[in-house]
Amino acid sequence: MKLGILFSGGKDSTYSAWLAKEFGYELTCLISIFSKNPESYMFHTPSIKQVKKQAQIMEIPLIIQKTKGEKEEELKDLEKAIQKAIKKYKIEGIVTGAIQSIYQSSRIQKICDKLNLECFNPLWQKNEEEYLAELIQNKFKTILTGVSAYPLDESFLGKEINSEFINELKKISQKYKINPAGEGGEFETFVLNCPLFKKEFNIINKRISSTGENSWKMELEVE
Amino acid sequence: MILIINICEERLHYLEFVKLKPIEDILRKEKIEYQTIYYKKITDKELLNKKLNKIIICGTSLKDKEYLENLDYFKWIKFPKLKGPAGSSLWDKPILGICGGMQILSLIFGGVLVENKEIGQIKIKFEKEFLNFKPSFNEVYLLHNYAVINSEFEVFANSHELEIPQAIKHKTKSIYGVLFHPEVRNKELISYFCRNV
Repeated sequence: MKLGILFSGGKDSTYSAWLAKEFGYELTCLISIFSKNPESYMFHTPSIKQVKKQAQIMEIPLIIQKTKGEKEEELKDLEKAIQKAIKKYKIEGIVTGAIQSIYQSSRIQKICDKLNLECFNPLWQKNEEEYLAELIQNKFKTILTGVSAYPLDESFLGKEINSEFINELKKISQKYKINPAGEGGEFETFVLNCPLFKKEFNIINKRISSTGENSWKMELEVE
Repeated sequence: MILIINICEERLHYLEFVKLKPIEDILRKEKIEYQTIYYKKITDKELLNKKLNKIIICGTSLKDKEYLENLDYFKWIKFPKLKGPAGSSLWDKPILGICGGMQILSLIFGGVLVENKEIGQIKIKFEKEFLNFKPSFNEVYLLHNYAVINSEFEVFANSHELEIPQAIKHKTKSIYGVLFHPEVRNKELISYFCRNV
């Protein structure tokens, strides 16, 4: 079955894509939504350029859709992007990286249902600790590019998700009740290497900026 | 031992509806022994396993409707092929059907399928205690195209306004069905079924 991957360049969408491939599905295209609204409930706000590079290194075509990020408008933009993927690449299903968010997942389910597509959420309800351990075990090299939950601060930006980080996060999440997988928006990630990539990215430039109270992001340039 | 029946036609859906936290993880955490099998591969060997004491039939995706065309694979629920003690012991095993699983249980006992698409989180009202859910409103996660109506089952909870049965139990057998997905927001229901029914 030909699948379109809702892709942000972070660990959840990349790992879901890899699982789909492992289960024998064809990764036909990536679909990335770039929201002008950094507070979007639906989409992460990755850097377009870097996602393009990830798509190139995986040799999978990329559909880019920009959105203003206004609540219901961004869903229409997502639907538009998926329709493009159906037309151009004949996809028969969508893969998402949804883990816990019923808000995101049920909206995507509704769009897939309307467009007569299968909707796959291979990380759905996955145990967070097990998930992070699996990422490492399956050779995903992922770093933090955004944090927005106390006590995470800018010193976490650029940290790699490895066993040391997982132990640190475990302590923090017990004490401060944050979601260790970061899907509650506590942190955002960027995948530098994984089994889908032909080679590993190097960071050649980074810029850290504050995006609000207790919230920072790091814009990357990779090659 | 719990027999988990997978009705997903697409292999990747196994992760979403059966494997991960959904069902197997809950049982693993509770240290309950289980075996998972695709519904078309069930044989007497699994059903007559002496260790088997309960069965869970999991749900699947909106697009996947294959199981509805293949209800014959579930005839054993109503008519265990084997006569005598083996057959009657199968007859008595508690079964929990989730979403598509509930539809199957109802249809096998002569129920009627009605179109009813519900996606997302809603509040439903339990009228009576059901698998340790006290009579009250509860938030549940829904993902289905059809509901089922069957007078052989008692209804314990309805969707708030539409009167769609969300939790049912067979009037004389230990056969339970939930149209919502307890593995998402109501995991305790699965643990309770496995431990206490």
